[in-house]
Amino acid sequence: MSKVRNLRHYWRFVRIGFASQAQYGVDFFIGAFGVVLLNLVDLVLLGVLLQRFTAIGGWNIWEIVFLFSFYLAAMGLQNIFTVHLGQIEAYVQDGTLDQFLVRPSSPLIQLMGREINHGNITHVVTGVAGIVVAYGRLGLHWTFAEGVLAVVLLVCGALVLVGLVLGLCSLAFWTIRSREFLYGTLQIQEVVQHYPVHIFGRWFQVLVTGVLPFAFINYYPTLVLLGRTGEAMHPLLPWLSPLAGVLVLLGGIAVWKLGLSRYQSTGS
Amino acid sequence: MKILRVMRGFIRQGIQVKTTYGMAYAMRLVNVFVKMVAFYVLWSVLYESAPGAFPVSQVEMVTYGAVSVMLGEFIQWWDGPHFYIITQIRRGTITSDLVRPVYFPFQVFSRCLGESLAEFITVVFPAALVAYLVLPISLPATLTQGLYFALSLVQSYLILFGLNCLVGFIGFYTLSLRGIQHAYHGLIMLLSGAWVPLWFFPSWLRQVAEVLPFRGLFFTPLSIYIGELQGQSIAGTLLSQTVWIVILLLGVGLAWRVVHSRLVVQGG
Repeated sequence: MSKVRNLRHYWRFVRIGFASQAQYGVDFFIGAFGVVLLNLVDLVLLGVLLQRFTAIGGWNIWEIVFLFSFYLAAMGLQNIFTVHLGQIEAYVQDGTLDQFLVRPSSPLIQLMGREINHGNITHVVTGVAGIVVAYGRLGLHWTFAEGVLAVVLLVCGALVLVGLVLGLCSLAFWTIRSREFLYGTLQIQEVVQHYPVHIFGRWFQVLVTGVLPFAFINYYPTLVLLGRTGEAMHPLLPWLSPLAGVLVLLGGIAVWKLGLSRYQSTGS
Repeated sequence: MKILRVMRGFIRQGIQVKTTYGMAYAMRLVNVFVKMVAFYVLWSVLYESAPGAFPVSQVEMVTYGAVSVMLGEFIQWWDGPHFYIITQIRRGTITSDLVRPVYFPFQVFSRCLGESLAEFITVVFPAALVAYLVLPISLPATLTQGLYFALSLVQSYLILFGLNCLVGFIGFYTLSLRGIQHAYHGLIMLLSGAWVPLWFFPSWLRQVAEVLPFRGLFFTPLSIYIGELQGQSIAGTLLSQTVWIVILLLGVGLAWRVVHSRLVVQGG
């Protein structure tokens, strides 16, 4: 089955997805308003804390805003296209995954194409806005190359998250229920989004670098972009972010494939 | 007594749902524990960076953080009645709730309380037990303080029920709660003290939080728990919780009458 054909299919799914979501215009705007508000609240609370402490782990408010927003943008990017992966467990449980297996297109592509969550554009926009504001406040001056690097790191951050979400959701092939694995990591994700991970000590850094590499979504890219690579466990580690994006994605796909190969329909 | 029997049914059902899939259940326990550790570490780090900024001792502060997590997992403010109501509305299955000879808000209440208690038995209690053994967090200093905490916890639950119900009823008109839910959750996050205690707030924000019901969800029980509130002021705070319960439950009763009289069920 050709890769090109898969991509063509996916592109068509995406177009259909956007078209169908566009039917709910008002809902989108109300939802967007809510998302922006929720993230603002988050930042206000961080602001309240930082007003008292001036810095967390040596990072001032705008550096934290940068870190937070970078995560938000990457998460939004990931969520737009892969939100349906959360349904893997439902397909496995009901045995309805069969429908993807009998069609002449990659099952994963069909699954992801089933739902496009365009509401998450709000996350991306809010995240990018946060990055831009923090950029101004921190007095950063990037060259064109650094600007490109920022975009690459953002996309790779999103890929890390895609890989992790795919891998965790695919555990459903073994455990039937997988949402808990994904939800379970939300707490860790939240911590990684809000605070520079080095404040939690070595064990946590190892956890979010080597085991559940969420730190590659925003922490390491931020270290690179703010010129603080010396703060990582090893100064070269932050530069591995792009590689991490590719590797984690491949890892996620591997888990999916392994799971799919042992999938037996419930037979109803 | 019939009510108790119904509740017991919901509790048993809840426990079954939560523990059927072994791995997922184990993961959930780990998650709650990780969340507690995260809050504990965060407050420890912040405390050590500026002990003078806190009106309480370090043990009290980390206890506030860890107990806040337990409380949150127990009352689950992000889920609950509003979520249940909107799901029933959207599926049209609310009709089957309405034909039962039990007052609808009460049905919702017993269902959600049953689930919360099941959550407490299967998840919160075991995770808390481990946390008490491993982390340096404390129990309420005196038995009276513990009892006041228990009372404020019950009141917190009732306030949340009232708020959630009212938000859920909006769904009868909008048929979607997406944006409203985000905004509402933002308010709780900001003003309840679930994350950042009110004593860190700038005075204008603190004043706003004082006059709204949200602080009764987290800040009141937690302040009583760690002993930040003492003697006379405990009574005053508990009373303000009670006043809010009365207002909110009256509001629910009134709103239900209006909503019920003009309910149109879609689909079927």
